[in-house]
Amino acid sequence: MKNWLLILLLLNAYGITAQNLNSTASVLNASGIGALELNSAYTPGSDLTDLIDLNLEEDISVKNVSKQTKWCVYARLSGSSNGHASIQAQLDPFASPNNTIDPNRTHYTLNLTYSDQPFVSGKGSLNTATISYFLYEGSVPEIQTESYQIIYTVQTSACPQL
Amino acid sequence: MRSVFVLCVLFLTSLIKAQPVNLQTSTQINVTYSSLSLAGVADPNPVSISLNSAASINDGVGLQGPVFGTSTMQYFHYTMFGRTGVSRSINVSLQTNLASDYYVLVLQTGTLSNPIFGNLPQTNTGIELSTLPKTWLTQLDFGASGTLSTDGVPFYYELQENPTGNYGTLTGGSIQTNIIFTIVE
Repeated sequence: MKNWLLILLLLNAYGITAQNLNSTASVLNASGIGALELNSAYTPGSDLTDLIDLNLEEDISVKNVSKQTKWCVYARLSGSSNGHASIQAQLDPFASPNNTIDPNRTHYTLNLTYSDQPFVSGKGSLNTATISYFLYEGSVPEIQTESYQIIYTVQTSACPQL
Repeated sequence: MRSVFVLCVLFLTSLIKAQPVNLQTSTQINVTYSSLSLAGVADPNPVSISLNSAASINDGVGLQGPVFGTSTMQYFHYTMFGRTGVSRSINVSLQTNLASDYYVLVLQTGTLSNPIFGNLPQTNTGIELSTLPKTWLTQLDFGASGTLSTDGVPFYYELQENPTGNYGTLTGGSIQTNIIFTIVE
């Protein structure tokens, strides 16, 4: 009987892994960053502007959480990223339900680093929240393509107060 | 007893479902850059070269070589996006031959300072300009020179005496010529 209990608990745990934190995209492609994205467009000598809209979006969700349970989504860049700049993630305040997300503990704009940083704080299930991506503090690239791997982690308890 | 056990299991299950555990998801963002190469001069106005000496009845045209005149310092701006295995050069040439062969136009390179981003190019100096393009800057792999009036690669022009030139080809008045900078990949 104990074995059955163990199996049941394990199945449950795997079920949660598949259900709680989800994103709608695993790979996003931004292309064509060029003369328009310079500090002065089409001007020789210009470097890339500090913040470039990559025109990329994805939705994240935190599901199967009881109404009173607080959680925090942390974000960081993975060490497998080979980009020379950083990524800024922006949470769309109008695309997220107010009842779920705590605005006093949520960073609506987050410059990603290689360490976990609190990003979105909420309570209960979050059906969807839209995140937009920007290239942050980029400079003239040394190579033609680069990639950034973003890791989102959800943990129980709210994010720290802003 | 069995019922109690099942109830306990259900209770534990509901507890676990109510609590998010440490879970992860990842998103990869791929960024592609255009093949961008931009170049130009800081001051787009015409460059003047005043002669060191003025013409006179006694001295004729008054030209005293080997340098007849020098322009002010100019600055060359560039923005180059890097591409694997690609390095650029800058060639320079005259659009048309000069009006007289008594003199030549020479491009001299000033002292380079670090660009706002990227590597310093290698430079050639003392380039005698002609309609045949000659290599001025090399190894421009990637970088941005900056856009201020004194950013970039400094250079100036000298009007020099042509040792093999013909005095008889000189004409009065000012002459103009266009200088072409070309990005070569």
